[in-house]
Amino acid sequence: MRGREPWLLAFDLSGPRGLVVLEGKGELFSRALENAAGAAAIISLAGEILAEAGISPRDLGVVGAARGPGAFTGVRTAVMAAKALGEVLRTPLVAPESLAVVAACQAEGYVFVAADARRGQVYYGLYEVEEVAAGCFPLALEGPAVASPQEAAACLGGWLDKLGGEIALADTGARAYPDLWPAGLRRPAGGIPDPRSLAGLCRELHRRGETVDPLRLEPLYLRNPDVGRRKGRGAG
Amino acid sequence: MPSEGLILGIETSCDETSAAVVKRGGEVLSLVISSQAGLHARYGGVVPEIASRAHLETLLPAVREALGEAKAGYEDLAGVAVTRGPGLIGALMVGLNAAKAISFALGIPLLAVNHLEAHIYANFLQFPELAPPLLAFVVSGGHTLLAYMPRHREYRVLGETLDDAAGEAYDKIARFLGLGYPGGPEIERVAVRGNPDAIPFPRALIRDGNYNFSLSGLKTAVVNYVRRREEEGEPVKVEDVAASFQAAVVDVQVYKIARAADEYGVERVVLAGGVAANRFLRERLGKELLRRGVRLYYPSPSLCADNAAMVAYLGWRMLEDGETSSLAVDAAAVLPLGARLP
Ligand SMILES: [Zn+2]
Repeated sequence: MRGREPWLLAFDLSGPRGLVVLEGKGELFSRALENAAGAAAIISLAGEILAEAGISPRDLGVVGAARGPGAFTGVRTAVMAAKALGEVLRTPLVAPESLAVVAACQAEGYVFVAADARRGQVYYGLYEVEEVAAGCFPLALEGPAVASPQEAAACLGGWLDKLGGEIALADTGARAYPDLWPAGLRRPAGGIPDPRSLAGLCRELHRRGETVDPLRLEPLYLRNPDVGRRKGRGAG
Repeated sequence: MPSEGLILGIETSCDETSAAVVKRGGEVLSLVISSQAGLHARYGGVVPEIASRAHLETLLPAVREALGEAKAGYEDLAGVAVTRGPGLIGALMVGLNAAKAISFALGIPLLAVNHLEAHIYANFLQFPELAPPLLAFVVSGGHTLLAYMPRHREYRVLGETLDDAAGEAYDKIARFLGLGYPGGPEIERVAVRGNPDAIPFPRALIRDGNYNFSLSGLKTAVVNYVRRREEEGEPVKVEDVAASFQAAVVDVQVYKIARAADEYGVERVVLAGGVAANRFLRERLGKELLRRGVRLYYPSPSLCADNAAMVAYLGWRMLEDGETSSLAVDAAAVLPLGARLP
């Protein structure tokens, strides 16, 4: 019975558009953030939607965060918020991959997800999406990985040959490379990420028992820190 | 179980992840500092992304440890204090978001603290009898700032560094001299065996009538001196270079602080920040102020460094003042001393 499932609060700040979602008792509340600059607002936005739903933090039964890959600061903000909430409220934590959240926006079938990783690279992955009670559940067949757009396109080409061409393409923020991808691929409609898919994917992970300890939850960075940017600061 | 209401402090503005529990009134029940210095040492300075990643990994364990040492649980907290700025923006955001989530989950006040002010308040935490009016000299890896404090939580900034913070200059010169990181303690360690009067390095801005500081000229002078000696085939005595460099830095600081003490007629001066642990500075300044009948205060080493006890303590004072923060408050890489929240 969905109506009896615990309230779920989830964050996704890995892409250019961030989301705070509250779902439970068959209801869905959400707030969109336009970019990482809004990351500082996620807890106050969570407060807003909890108030809208008429519940308190103690009523939360599951907390989720998209754990990357994506914008480092955004991913960290979502993950830190989830870790701290899980720690204090002792709620189970779930942490889907960010590209899987995008893939979950799509209907059944194969979805290739690519996201701008800056510095001439993209994050990418291929998912097989199946329908489950909570919505759509993507299974990773490839990735998530980070590489040049050309390498990602070659990877997609290989899977198109193997699977006979039935792959949808979701390229959040990777539209900087319009001529890169094979022509004629199905483009999913709708916003990315989608509040319902984020909630559904978190719900399904919880149902499958794929929860994470708050101390162990870490972002999926896929890339080492840029050590070129150094700040000359010592102790203090 | 403590029932009077405890303040949890969180500090992640640079390269120390710290959590502390302070009782209302200021007794420190626990202070956990997890230093990342080892992670940054090979780069000779703090790498922001490495710092942010490490904070995320270490913060909750530090909070758990601090609560454990204080024999307290989350339910005993009356407020969460956290450094809002100034500092590395990505690093600040880790601590700030954790504090917001804890405040939200528990329904307790969030106290967003100015890091510079917290450094100053480390002195009030350590010396309960201390009271304004006084002069505060905040000197650390990221800051060099002299302020007059007429009353609690009120500041008039008299001067700041025009280029490098003292700790930053120590890091760079230590690196140049082939010493370790962080540079401050390394320079001091080596300087003890050197002659501070061996090389007459310039004392920048010493007689220009204001309270600003500048170290870029001194840095260049040190580099030029060493290069010239090497070109001439003369030996370079690192101990003398370190001692003379340190003396040049400290002479200007002591001169200006003493002059400000005269001008503002204060009886107390407090040192704050990581470089306040520098013994050479403490001794020279203490001696100069003593001649004027002015007393110098500085916190113990763990309270000089970036630490969450000073944050929790200032948070408690803010709570007493009714100055709580909104959950929408943003981290601030630059945050002037005395800037109040809207
Ligand atoms: Zn500091």
